[in-house]
Amino acid sequence: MRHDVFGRRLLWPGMIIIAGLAVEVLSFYGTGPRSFLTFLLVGSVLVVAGVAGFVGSVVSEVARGGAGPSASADHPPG
Amino acid sequence: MDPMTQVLTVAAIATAVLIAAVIFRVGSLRGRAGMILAFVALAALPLSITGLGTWTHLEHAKSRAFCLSCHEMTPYGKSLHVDDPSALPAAHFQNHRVPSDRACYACHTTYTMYGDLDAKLKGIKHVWVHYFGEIPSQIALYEPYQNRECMYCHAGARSFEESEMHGDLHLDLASGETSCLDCHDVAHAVAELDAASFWRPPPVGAP
Repeated sequence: MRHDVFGRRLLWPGMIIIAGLAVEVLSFYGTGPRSFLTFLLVGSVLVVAGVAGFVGSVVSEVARGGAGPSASADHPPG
Repeated sequence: MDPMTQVLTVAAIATAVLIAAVIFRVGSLRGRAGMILAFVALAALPLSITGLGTWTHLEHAKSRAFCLSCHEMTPYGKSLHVDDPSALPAAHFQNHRVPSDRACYACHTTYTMYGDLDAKLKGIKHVWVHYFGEIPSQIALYEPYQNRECMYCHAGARSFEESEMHGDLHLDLASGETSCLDCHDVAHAVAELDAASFWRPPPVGAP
């Protein structure tokens, strides 16, 4: 089913975003320059990369199916 | 941990749980509602948390402890404790004329429209240079200290207005034609710290 495929494609972006959020939360426990750089160069980069991956997945899914992950499930071909 | 950090921590954990729910319960992605849920979980919330987290870290970066955590700033922190009423930073710091925990930021940010942003961008650059660049042997201001920063607090204050020393200089001082530092010329004076005496010197290791 198409939404299974779409869900699988979100796995890596989702994992990267979760990793980025974890780094960001850990950086809040420090208030010095090192924590700030960790947040900026590791945490936020992971989050932005994950979001970009999600957006890319959505764009390619819409381009492929025309109306999102449920398109072929609701309106099977033929 | 301050309240904003607590809120962001809880929000990040909740977002992570929501992301896991979205990507592992794939049936939840049906239709328009599913896409909106996915967008909120995998884009809107993470980016919002990142933005607020950046702002929180920049607020922490205003603290004196943050500035003085880099070794090249140690003499400047020490200069806040010299026993010399003519030393501007010491006089302001010891008499609580600037917030003690933000003493550096109070003076080393310009009070212009984008002064805060400019100070924060320069601060990020300083952190970058500290870890990845070459720390200059001589640390100096980017530009001469403007009267505007002094006048932000002192203009209109009784001690300033009624000071005989300022006499007819008020207009020149306000316009910047005469610099406050022409007379009040003792700043951090880190080169003279070895010979200085201190009023309540900071404990070893403290900012």
